Amino acid sequence: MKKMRKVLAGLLTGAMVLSMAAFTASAEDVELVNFKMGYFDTGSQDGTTVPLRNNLVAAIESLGAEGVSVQPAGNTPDDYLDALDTLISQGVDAIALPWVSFMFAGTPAAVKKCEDAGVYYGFYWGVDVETLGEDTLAFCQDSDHFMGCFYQQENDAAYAAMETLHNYGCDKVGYIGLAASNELQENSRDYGVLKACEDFGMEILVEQRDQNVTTTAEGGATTVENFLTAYPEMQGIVIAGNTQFVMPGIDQVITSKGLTDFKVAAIDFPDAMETYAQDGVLVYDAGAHVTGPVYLTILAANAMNGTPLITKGQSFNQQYIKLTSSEEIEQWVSIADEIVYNTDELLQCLQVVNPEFDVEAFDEMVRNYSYADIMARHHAE
Amino acid sequence: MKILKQAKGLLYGLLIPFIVYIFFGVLRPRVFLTGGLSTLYTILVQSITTCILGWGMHFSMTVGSLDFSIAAEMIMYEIIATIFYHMGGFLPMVLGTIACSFLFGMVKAFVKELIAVKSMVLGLALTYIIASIGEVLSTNRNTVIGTDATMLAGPPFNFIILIGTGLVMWYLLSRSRFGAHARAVGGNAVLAKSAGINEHVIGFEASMVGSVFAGIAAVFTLSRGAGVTAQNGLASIGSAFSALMCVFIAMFIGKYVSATVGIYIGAVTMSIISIGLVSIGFDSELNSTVTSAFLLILMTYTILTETRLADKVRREVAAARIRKDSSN
Repeated sequence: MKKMRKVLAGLLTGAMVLSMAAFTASAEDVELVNFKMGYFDTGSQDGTTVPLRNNLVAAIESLGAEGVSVQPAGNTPDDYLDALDTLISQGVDAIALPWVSFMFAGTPAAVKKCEDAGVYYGFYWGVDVETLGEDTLAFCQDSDHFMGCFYQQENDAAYAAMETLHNYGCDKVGYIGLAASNELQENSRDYGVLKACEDFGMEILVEQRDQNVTTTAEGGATTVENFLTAYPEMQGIVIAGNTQFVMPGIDQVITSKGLTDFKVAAIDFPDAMETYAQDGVLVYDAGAHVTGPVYLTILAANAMNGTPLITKGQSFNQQYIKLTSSEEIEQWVSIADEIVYNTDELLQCLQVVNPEFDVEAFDEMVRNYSYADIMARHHAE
Repeated sequence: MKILKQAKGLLYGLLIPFIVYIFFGVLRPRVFLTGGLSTLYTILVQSITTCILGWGMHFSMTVGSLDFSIAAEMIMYEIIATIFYHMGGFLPMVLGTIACSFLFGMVKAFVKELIAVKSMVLGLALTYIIASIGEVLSTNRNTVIGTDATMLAGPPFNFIILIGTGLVMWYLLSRSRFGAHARAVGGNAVLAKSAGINEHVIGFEASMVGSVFAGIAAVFTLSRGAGVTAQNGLASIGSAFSALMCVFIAMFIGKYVSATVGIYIGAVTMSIISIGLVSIGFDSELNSTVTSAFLLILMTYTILTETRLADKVRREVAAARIRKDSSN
């Protein structure tokens, strides 16, 4: 029933895009305004950052813009604020801001910089607008330049990860997560994990949040070795962040020890995840939440072309692709569909090309993003 | 007699890991005291990478150059190893990586000696550059290896790598002219120069040894993790810091054991702390704080002991002078 709903949602989105195309003039007839879209590029080659970057670059090119990227010197809000200054000095017209890198501490300053510079801006990987905090809202809530926030239901993704482990009989689990400071709000992965513990009687035996350890494959191997040494009764691991870094090492240790009943549920897609699924280790993964900057580019392109979709920044619930079994993981990898929205689809999101496209249609597109949606749009038989 | 003295020294040296082990054993006896040999095995295996990196750092530190870039170098070699693996499999991965570490090590050593700045800043700059090369090399590549290439992480190969590299280290340190010259340069560069030792050649060789050891550590680490992700900027410093701590622990127990054994004891101690903190459920975000505090305690103790020793020597010399003057 759940799968059927997903397929229907995908088909509806596909039908919507096609019907909108029927109303529109050819995109070639319209001359798009060239603008500079700024974004942050950590340079990482991991399984989450690469598709995010590739999708963003494809969207920027498709919508007639020019991409300007900057690499922050480090991972602190200050590093990102410095990098933001660099982007602004490059004369960008719009910027996609990863909220998770600015956090509550850096967000007010980031917003003020964008407002002062008069550039369009919005957040992805973050919280909803109401949760931005009073300091930030004081700057942006009535601004024409604020495009809004794209956020995932982090608690749902984490809850589903735990539920899957529970269904596999793994109730005593180890936790690998992001630094605790990233996990303060109610819509957080920590919250989802804790709620699942309450609902299913599960227990977190130990946590690993040290970023020096959880950003390397060997760190993953070391972590799971330590977990199993200290807690031999452990039945599984939930990875609520940095999966792309630690998963090879975790899989290596679990398979080499022959722990066939030991399962891993994760958030963020790692490279070669089909291998981990085939090994019977990885049984749940939520990821491919890479479309936030693409959506911000769509909003910016509409604004730059004189047809803003929104007049006031608002929240959009960006979706995860949730794969809830080894079979689904293998199927997802087999489609190898990295560019989520192709040029034709993106152009149909511009009002100058497609006057029918409005904020409701945009919101629906954002909400419908799913495995079934991609299959229906790009892989319909 | 000499063997007895060495055995006694080794026992003294092993006191640190023993005390740390017992400390955690009291807190979690099921893991450390009654849990069988699996804990000990895990500790020994986890110490290998840090130990080899520590050995690699040792000579550079001896000649007065603190090189943090060795960890970034190791990660870059891991990326190179994955490229070789996807080109030809396991053997090219191992041989190609070691060959690359030799070649790149030559270039790096040459650059270091050309700039001739014995500053931590140079090491940090090299870390940035090497991390960037790693990023470029890993762009659009699969940096995960298959299980067919991970055999070096398991027994007996993991311990063969450790012992083999340790023997090379022991030879370089205790039996080679290079080791003696490195100590001479580190002890007094001016005196060493007047004795005909070329400081730049020794610095070059020390850096080269570090690079090749980083290559060996890369092959082993990749086998353990089965994959690697490029680390941008200074993200690799954490690994270098762990290796650095091993060298400091080796210096701390330097009176009792050679640096080769001392660094290994340091790596084992670090592994015990790592597993110990997990076993007592300590906040993992504070792990680095604990290990740093441990290092600070050791350093403070070393400095205080050396200062007292120096004061004692000064007092004895002064007393001898007074005795000599009064007898005249």
